[in-house]
Amino acid sequence: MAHIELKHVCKTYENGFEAVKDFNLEIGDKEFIIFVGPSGCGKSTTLRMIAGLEDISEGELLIDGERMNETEASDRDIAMVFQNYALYPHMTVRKNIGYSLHIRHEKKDVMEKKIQEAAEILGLEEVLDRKPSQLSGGQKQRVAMGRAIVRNPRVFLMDEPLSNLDAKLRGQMRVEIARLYHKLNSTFIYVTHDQTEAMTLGTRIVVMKDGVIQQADTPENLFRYPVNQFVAGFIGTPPMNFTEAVVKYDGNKIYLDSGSRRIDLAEEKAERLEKGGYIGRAVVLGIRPEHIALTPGEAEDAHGGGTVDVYEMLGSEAIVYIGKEKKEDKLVVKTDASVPVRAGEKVSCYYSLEHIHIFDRATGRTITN
Amino acid sequence: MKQTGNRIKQVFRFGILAVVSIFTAFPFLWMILSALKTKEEVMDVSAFFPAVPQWSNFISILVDSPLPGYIANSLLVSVVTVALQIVTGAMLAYAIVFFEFKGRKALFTLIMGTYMLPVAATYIPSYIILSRWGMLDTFRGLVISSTVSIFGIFLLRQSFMQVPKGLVEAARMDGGSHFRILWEIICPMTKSSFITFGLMSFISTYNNYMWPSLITRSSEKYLVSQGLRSFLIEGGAYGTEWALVMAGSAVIVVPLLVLFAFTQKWFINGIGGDTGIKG
Repeated sequence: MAHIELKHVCKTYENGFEAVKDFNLEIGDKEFIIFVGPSGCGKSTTLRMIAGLEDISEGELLIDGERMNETEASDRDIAMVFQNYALYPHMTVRKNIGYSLHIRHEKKDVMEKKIQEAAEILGLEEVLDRKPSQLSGGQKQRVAMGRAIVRNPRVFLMDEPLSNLDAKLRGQMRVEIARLYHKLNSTFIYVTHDQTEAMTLGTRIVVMKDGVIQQADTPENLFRYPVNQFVAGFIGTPPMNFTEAVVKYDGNKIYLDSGSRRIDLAEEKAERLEKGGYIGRAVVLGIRPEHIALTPGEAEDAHGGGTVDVYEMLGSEAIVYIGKEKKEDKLVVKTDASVPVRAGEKVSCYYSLEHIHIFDRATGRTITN
Repeated sequence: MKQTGNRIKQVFRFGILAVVSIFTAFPFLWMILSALKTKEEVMDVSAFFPAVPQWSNFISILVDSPLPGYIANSLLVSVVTVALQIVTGAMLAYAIVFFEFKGRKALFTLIMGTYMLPVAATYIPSYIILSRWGMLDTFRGLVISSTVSIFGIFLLRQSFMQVPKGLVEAARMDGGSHFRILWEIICPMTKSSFITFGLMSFISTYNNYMWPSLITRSSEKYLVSQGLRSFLIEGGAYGTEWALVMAGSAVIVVPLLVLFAFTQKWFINGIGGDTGIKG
């Protein structure tokens, strides 16, 4: 059982650098929380503050209602898996996994039983008597996880645990972590910059930028209803297309004027723009690559288009990069691989109007989702 | 051509090493040979080897002289001093490397600054302190005045800096106290530095002459260098019996040779093992 609360938490280093600013988050029991964001956004720092490896400059950390700011890392009953595994090189896998139990003076037979259980869960039975230097990257990663699960802690923290593995192994381990989460039924907090990991593992994702939470929501909501342009651009592969447009009113309808093209809007979105006083003002239009339909040739009523620059065939689907001269003409489209387009051909793009996102140009905030 | 050049280089290197080795080993060899000579043979430079090896010189040193007692004194003082220096050095080095606190660099600079002081400059204050504590002419005084070794702190600090901080953090998350982390995680990983430092500290304490002769007066508290000098050279029971002096010196060296034989492989080893941590 673990209920974690971070209240107005800040981290300021001695040189004045503010790594985390006014961080507020409540993490319920058995949640799988993902901290995601670009390098230097403060996600690892936040995790390390929860772990007790970094002091909290301001604010409060509560675990099950108890203030933890001053509690030593060793007394928080939290286990952590490090990016670089941090295995003790002079100890065998068995001793690495059992070290925390040895510290707690656990009885030998109980210790052995727990080590065996962890080894079985992670498929490490064969390598228990090996040293870390004799293990593969994936095995090292499993030992690091074994070290965490053997303790049965209140909270599991994972700091980019898969970033040192190759793509194939990363995929496998991702599935194993998901399986482990369901099996252990505990609270997980996981830091990554890989949004595939974030989207597939998390029950809730916290997107961070420059030490500030941008949005904390379910993967689906983050994808569908990003609160700002940063979140919209960060979540989703390939990223959302952004283009500048002016909100116009022709006496009958509110529409977006993007270059020479007219994009009509759904009624609800038009209403919001009107209420927000955006008519006549420039905004940012966002559309995800999978929400654009492609047709060969040039069409006057299309929302965008141009010459195909690069065509990436991915099997069942393809990524089409359109336009290379003008920035505003550039578009990335994810389409069915059966659509007959190739590099150098002219294409027209039609946006799925209900999936258009409109952002305030100055603040980047979402006006309509 | 290239092969010939390499061979010449190799011969050249070998030659230099051979000359240096001979220069290093010669006094030792001379000491052993002189220990097996008679008093007259030692002074007669025309014969390098003894006519008849005088093994009785060694028996005389071991049975009739107080030298074994001095060796025991030296061993006792050295073992305790080395143990204390390792504990204090490791704890200070750990704090300097793994603790985050204000003035950490300044503290290290200060510690290293004291290393720059000439040893003789510390004799008087140390003597006064020991005198006030009533520890002159005691083994306790000898040990306490050498509890901390600046060289040890420096050597262990350099070695600890090679240990990834992530390991210490992992051990803290596992519930380890700093003391436990130091002895169960850091120490085994930097074993070679500990052994190197222990050996060097042991040799210098064992052979120490100046400081022990300043604070010990009674002959039963003498360490080997003092004992050798006062008993065998300064017109003691043996006058200047050079053959016996050499035999005594050879006996004194034995504990050091034994210690070195057991620990020499650690000199070669650097920091060992694989943490799984990539650089």
